[in-house]
Amino acid sequence: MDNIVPILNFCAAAFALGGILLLAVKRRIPTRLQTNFLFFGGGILFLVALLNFLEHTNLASSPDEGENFLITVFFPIFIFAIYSAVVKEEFENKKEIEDKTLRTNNLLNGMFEAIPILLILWDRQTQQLTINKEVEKRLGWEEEELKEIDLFNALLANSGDLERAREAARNFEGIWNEYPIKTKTGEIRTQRWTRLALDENISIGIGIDITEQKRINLSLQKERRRFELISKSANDVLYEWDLETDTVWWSQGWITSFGFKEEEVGDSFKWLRTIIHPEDFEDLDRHYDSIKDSNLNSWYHTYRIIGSDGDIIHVKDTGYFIRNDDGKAIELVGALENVTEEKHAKQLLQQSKERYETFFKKNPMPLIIFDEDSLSIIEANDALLQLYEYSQKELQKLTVYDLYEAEHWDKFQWLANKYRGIPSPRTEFKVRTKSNKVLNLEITTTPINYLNKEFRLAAVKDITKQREAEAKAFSSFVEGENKERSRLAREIHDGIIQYLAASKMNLTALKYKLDDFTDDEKELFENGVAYLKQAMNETRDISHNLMPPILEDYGLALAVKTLVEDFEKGSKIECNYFQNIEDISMPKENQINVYRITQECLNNILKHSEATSVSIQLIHDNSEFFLTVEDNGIGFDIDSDDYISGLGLSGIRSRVLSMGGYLDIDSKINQGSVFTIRLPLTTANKEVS
Amino acid sequence: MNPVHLLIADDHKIVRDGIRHLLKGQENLTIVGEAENGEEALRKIETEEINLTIMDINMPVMDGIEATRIIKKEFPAVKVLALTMVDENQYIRKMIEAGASGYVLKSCSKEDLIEAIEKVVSGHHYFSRDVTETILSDMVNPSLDTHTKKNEIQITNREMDVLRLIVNEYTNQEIAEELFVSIRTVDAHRRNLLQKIGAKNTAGLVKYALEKQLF
Repeated sequence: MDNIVPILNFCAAAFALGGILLLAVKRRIPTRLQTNFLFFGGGILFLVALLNFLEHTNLASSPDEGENFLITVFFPIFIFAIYSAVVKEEFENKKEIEDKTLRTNNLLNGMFEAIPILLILWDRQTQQLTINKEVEKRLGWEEEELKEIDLFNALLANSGDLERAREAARNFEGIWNEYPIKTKTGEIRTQRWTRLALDENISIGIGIDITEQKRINLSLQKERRRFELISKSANDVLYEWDLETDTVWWSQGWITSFGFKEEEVGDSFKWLRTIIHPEDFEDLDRHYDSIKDSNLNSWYHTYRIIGSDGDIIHVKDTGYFIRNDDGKAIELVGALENVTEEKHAKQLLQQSKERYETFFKKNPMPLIIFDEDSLSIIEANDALLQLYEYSQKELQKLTVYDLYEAEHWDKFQWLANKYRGIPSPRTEFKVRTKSNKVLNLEITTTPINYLNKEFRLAAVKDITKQREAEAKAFSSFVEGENKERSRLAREIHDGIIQYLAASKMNLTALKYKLDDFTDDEKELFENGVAYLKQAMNETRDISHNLMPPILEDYGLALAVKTLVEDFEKGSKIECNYFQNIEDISMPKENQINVYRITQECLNNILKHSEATSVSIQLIHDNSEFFLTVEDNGIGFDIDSDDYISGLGLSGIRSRVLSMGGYLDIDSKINQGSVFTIRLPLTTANKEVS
Repeated sequence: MNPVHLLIADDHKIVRDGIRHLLKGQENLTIVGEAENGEEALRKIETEEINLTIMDINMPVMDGIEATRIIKKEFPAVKVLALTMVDENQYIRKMIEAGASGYVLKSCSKEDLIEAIEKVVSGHHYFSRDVTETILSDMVNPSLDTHTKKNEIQITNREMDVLRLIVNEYTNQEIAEELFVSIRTVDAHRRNLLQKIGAKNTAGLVKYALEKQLF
């Protein structure tokens, strides 16, 4: 027993020393080793302390034993106390480490779940499969579902990839492979996968979904190809100019559209400056600088360049500045367009405009352009404006209709329809100027293309004076004729007829001598008297036809009434006569004319119409006088030219013309006819009697 | 036969002479005087004893109608017999209105003239056959003078067509298109209607058509 104690003491001392050393270097020694060492050492020290105590209790009688006791009992207890402290610290350290590990694990788990990378964990030993959320999201499979199926078969879109994938999963650690992957819903996505072994059993599959990226790449490629295509085929020179380095990329336009040879085209704007027209530098630079140094981005300028064959080419340069964060222009992208032809066309247009100005605007013949459909007035020249007394502005508010007298509207319309798209013949119209002056115009129209639209050009000739002269001539002709007829009628009436009457009376006065005559002689006498009577009647009829005395004695209303009565008697055609003209006094000449026209109309009806009823009306209102002769006969076709000659209308027309009136004839086959004469009531013939 | 104191008024001397020759030898007939126009006839009637005037119509200065009117007013006892070349009923009517008792044409026979003188002097009327025909035909043709018969306005067929369309609110343009006539003709019809009916405007025409129940 005695020899054991020192050994134990020695051991205790050794452990104590080891414990102190351990405290100094413990971080370098595995924790488990430390813990084992400390528990083991603590046990030994406790045992030593117990044995020493028991021994000292037995040897308590010996005086030097007291010192021994201190050494053998308190020393190990002291050592143990230190041990306990060390061990306690060790335990606390260990807990801290475990917490840390837990946190790390949570972090890793969180990352595992949340990371936007597909992760599949495979434990070969436990046949355990773990997937993260990304896998569920991208592939649509739940973890539980994936466990039930064959992974490779389910996910690989091409069965041809099966072998390659299995091989890669077994052997090729860290090597990425791209597969078309089928999702649960059948959608095909592109993914890249690799495998990483964590230890002998556990391996992790890492997948990246590159479907979007692929798509973007594809569209980028298309974009690029499209741009290349455009830049090749476009007539413009597309350019991209790095302002920092003055390097420029041009498209093929210089060659295809501007006629340069490939080797002539430089790769800087310095080269461009060598071909810009010297006169255009200044403007171009100023404009360019003003945009470049502003905060504007778009820029466009037109200038001239000198082509490789020395020709002037007009260029329209449209560009866009790209600026850095400081707003400094670093790049200019844009296009140069060859606008030479456009420029030429514009110049030609300008020239033709100028020519048009002189030809159209200053033409002494009044000209007007109007829209055939809307009848709106597009433009009129100075001569026309002067004629109508309108300003261009005033005129453009009107329609063509407004320029005609209302009674010419249907004539105008008829012409417009008949000659649509082709030139119309010269036609006479009455028109009204701004100051209400009535003009006689001769108008020819022709379709023209003006400002790229179909319009109609009307050329106007003012024949007012001519017509006035003609009317004057007509009226003096008609007047002369009337006068001559009057004179003849009077001469017959006052001369021949009176002589005839007197002869007959004288002869008849001899009647008492008849008793002396033989029968033959009596017959001769009676025949002579009868012939004289007939001569009187016939001469009187001639005289009346030349100038009805009633017209001179009682005026138009009564004269026409008598005329109508005689007509009705002679023709057996039912007549209706209406007049309200007794309160106006018409010039004698006009009365004669209206009377003659009525007579002519009635003659026509008798000869041609087969009418059974005629209505004759002489009506006036505040402004005009109307003669209307309407029948219910067989009518005629107004549009055929034959009827005019057949009806002897020229006499009527010249009488109407001489009075400054209008003649309208409306008739249709089997619908009768209406003749209307319209005379303006001037102050001269509108005297209230 | 009552005694006749005759004045011959005619502007042609040869005619006056002719009448003189015709009436020469007639009993109870004295030709008191001659006149070249109405005015002269009036002067003679004033101064001479005259009970019958043979009166021409067409004469200068004053015509026979005017002279007859004055004679009948101033000297109602003096009869007037018209002897003239004109046979239009207007003249006949005017002459009768003025107060002439007879009307004979210059182409008449001697017997007719003498009969006329006798009838008129004895206070009757005389019209030669031609004249009677004219007056009669005027009387049997009452349709002519519509103006005097205000109550019965004659509307022509075309005017009726136009009026019907006006009542149906057609414009002139639309009426022209409907009836295939020119706007101006429609305008003339419309204005004729206004005048005949005495309407101020289209509304008046419509009112008239409705009142008369024309459609």
